[in-house]
Amino acid sequence: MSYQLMFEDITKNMGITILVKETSSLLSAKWAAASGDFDPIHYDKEYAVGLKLPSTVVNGRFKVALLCQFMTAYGGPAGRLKRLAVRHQGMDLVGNTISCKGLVTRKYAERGECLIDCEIWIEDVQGKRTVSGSATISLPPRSRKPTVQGN
Amino acid sequence: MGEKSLLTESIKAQVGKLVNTHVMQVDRRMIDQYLDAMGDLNPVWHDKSAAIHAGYADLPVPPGLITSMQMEGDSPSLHMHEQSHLKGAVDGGGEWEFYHPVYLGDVITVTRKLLNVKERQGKLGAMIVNTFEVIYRNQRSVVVAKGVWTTLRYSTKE
Repeated sequence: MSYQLMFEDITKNMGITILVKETSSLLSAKWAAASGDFDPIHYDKEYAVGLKLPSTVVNGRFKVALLCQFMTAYGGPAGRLKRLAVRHQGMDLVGNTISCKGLVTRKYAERGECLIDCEIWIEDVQGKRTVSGSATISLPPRSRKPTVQGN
Repeated sequence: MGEKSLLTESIKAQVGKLVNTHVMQVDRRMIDQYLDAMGDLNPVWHDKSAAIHAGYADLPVPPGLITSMQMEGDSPSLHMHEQSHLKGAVDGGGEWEFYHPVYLGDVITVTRKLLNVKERQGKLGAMIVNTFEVIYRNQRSVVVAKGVWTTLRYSTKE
């Protein structure tokens, strides 16, 4: 059974468990198949260089998805990702290792939900941020069981 | 004499218009391919009983899969002929809000509208910054998520 983070467990400036990803051509191919985005800049080096890029680059939307994974893992099974915003600041080349990091910036209740805001980012092995952003997740409080979500 | 602007009247005329609509049914293969690519082992995405225990009504789709839904068939040259001469494209970033879970079997209609275009100088030269609004609706016309993001287009010619 997965660990469930509870709203009461959170304090401001608390760090979020780091998510590390080694990128590769195989990963780029899998992401292309999963997303339907077959832009060759992500897997064809010659093509990428021809477009003034230094080499093949990690798909920006993959990095968005990775930050979603980072936050949903942190929120646990009963947590819910409500919002995620990113700004791409630099390219990550395929083959490099990237890390998702973050910290809690705010804890509050709104419209009956227990929410936390987080500063999140992706950095390369040199510690340079290539993506910066923020996210909001809801967490269950100890005093209440989660309700079933339809739509 | 300055460089000729990339931002032509025909490009500016697309602001406010629907760029494309994409309809897809969420099937097991789509979810499995996504989870395999991400290496996401969260049991909520894999196991219906774990999902129900966590408060979902069925097996939900990871939010990251929703953000990538409009990518399929998304080649700008397919939908934005006015910018098809700008072969380079990079993601600028964006913001997504998730209102309701998306479940296995749902049919999601993704509509993408061009909100704004600007021209700016970047490391790759002159660029057009396209800002899109994307709305994701399920088969009951419920808006399950919204996104706003930018795509930068640039010329690859010297």
